[in-house]
Amino acid sequence: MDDFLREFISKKWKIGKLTFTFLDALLAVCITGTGIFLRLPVINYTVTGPEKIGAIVLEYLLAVLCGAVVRCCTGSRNRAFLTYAILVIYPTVAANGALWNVNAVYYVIFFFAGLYLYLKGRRIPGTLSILAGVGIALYRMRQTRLAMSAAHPASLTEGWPNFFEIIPKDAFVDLFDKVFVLLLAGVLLTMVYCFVEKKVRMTQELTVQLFFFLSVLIPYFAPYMPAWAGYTADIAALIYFMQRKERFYIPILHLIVSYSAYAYAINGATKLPMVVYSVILLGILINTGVDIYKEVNR
Amino acid sequence: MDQVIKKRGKMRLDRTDFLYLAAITVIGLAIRLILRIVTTDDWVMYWDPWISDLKEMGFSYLATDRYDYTPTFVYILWVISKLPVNPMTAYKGLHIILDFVAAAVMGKIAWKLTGSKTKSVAVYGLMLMVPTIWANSALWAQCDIIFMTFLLLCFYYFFEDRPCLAMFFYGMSFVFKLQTLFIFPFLVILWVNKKVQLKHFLWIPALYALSIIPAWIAGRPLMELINIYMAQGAQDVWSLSIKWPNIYQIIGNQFFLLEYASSGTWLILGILMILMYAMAQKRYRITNEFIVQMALFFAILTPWFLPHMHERYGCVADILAIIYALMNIKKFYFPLLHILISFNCYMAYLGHLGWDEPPIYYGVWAFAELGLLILAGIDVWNYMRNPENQLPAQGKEAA
Repeated sequence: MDDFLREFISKKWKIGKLTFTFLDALLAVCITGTGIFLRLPVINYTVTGPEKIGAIVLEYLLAVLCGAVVRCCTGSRNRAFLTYAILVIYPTVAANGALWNVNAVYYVIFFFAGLYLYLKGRRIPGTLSILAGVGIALYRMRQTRLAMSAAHPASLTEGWPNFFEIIPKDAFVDLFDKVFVLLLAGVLLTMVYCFVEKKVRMTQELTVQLFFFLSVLIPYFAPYMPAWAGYTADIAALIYFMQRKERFYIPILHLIVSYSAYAYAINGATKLPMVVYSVILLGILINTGVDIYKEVNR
Repeated sequence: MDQVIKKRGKMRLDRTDFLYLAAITVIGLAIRLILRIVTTDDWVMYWDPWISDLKEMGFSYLATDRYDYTPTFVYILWVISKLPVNPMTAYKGLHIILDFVAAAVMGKIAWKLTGSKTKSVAVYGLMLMVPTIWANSALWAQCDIIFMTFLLLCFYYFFEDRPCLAMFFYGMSFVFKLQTLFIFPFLVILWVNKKVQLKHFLWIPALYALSIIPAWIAGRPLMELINIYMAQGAQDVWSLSIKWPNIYQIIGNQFFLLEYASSGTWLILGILMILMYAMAQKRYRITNEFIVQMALFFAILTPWFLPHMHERYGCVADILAIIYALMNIKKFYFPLLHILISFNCYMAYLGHLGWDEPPIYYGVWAFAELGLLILAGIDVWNYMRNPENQLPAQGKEAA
């Protein structure tokens, strides 16, 4: 009986092109269920309506999509499946929709759809998808800012521990909000210039690295970033880790930063000062920047 | 690591370069135009009244002791007072123009050192984005970009192996700001190693003497003009560190104010003497990298021990760190961290923190600065220890 069960759980099944073991199927069912049960205890913290339910469904779709991204850039079925499994129970993803009703997944899914299309060689639809995501994100953030600005004094960050946590975040707010957007534009332009001049070939690995780098860099210097501004980077960090196992600490650190930002926004306090998280993010940014530099010059 | 001085041809720019340069110039300008409207305490307390007095009294204002900057800077204010535009716009406009000049010089330095067109063009752009550069001129209405531009030219001509011209620009830098002296010991080491001649040093007193003549003719006593930097040093003595993260931010900057101010000055003089003595024991190959290493080391070291250092006194190290990273990309963290430290200090002042600590305490920044100092010191030490970089001593040569 023991041997039968041992063989049963590792026996490969094939349905169409899909090959899987009983263990795979078991984990898929269990983790999907766990994702639901993880969300249920906190779902009543905010109003549950069609938007939230839709967001939770999209979170599952996002997990599948990210699995496909990992499959595409690593070729590993196991890593792709693990990505799905981890994302289904990813704390910031679950909390963003079920607990907080922010539902950032409505635009974040466009970023990852864009990344997937880009990796598949469909660059124009990929770029359009990312631009659509940016458009929705800007609209949502503007809405949130308008709602929050009535209740809070002016600050360059709305909860994301970025560069403005290091410098006083309430100085020159109405000037620095424009200056730092321009500064960011200047840095991005310089990056594009260097890539064009060096005729850098965009490999799949480099694409994922750049995607992650930009998802950390932009909220780090952009003004008025909300506490969930690290949502995209949280997921991108996981994909980055799936691609480079030695960078295991990056998704862990980013997740800690991200969830601490959530905690600060929801509870009004964290155990560590927010500036500590800003320094951690700076470290992640430098680490990834060095990786990209090495990749480009390889 | 050998930096053979090469004569490089003209840089040939293509359409992509021009597009990038145009776009980054517009972005750099836009940042500065947004910030130009800010009126800071320095403007209200110093430059504005000085310009008003210059408008009223004309050149005879130079005879008074109402200004504690070198006369050269006041001549610029005198010109501004004559212009038919808003004085603050004219003042900031001049410094903003110099930001772009400094960025262009930095681009030329990059071309000289690396021969890479991409690096040269990109460094021009990044220099315009450096927060301590735009915050100094466009936001704060400070004038450090003047002496920094001359200092950059000084380094450019050292890299061109034209020490006389380099020392001329060092002298020009000195007539605007005393901070130029932070890196003076590296010139002594260059002299020991025959890169500079004693006569080149004459530019410093000669240019200073020339610069004070108009003010002397206007009527200000000669001794006052000669001692203007001494008088400057006697001000702002209310704290051992005026928001610069140095040793006093670790041991406490509010105790033994008078005693430590004096002792601290002697301490750094002693340290510099010991270092110069040790570094002058042997002869070294003077490469561009060694020049920048040494200058950067002294630019961090001196304000780390000198009392009464202001928030902006890391600006020399800021630009040297950029050049250092240009030469050796593995040292990218020098400009990154140093500019972060510097900008944090800027914001502590501009954000009106007063006696409050910034989000990351000055003490933490002081340790970070110490870390950079040690790393720069190790780089200099390793260079000197490398037998390939050592030359036979003069005595042995004669034998």
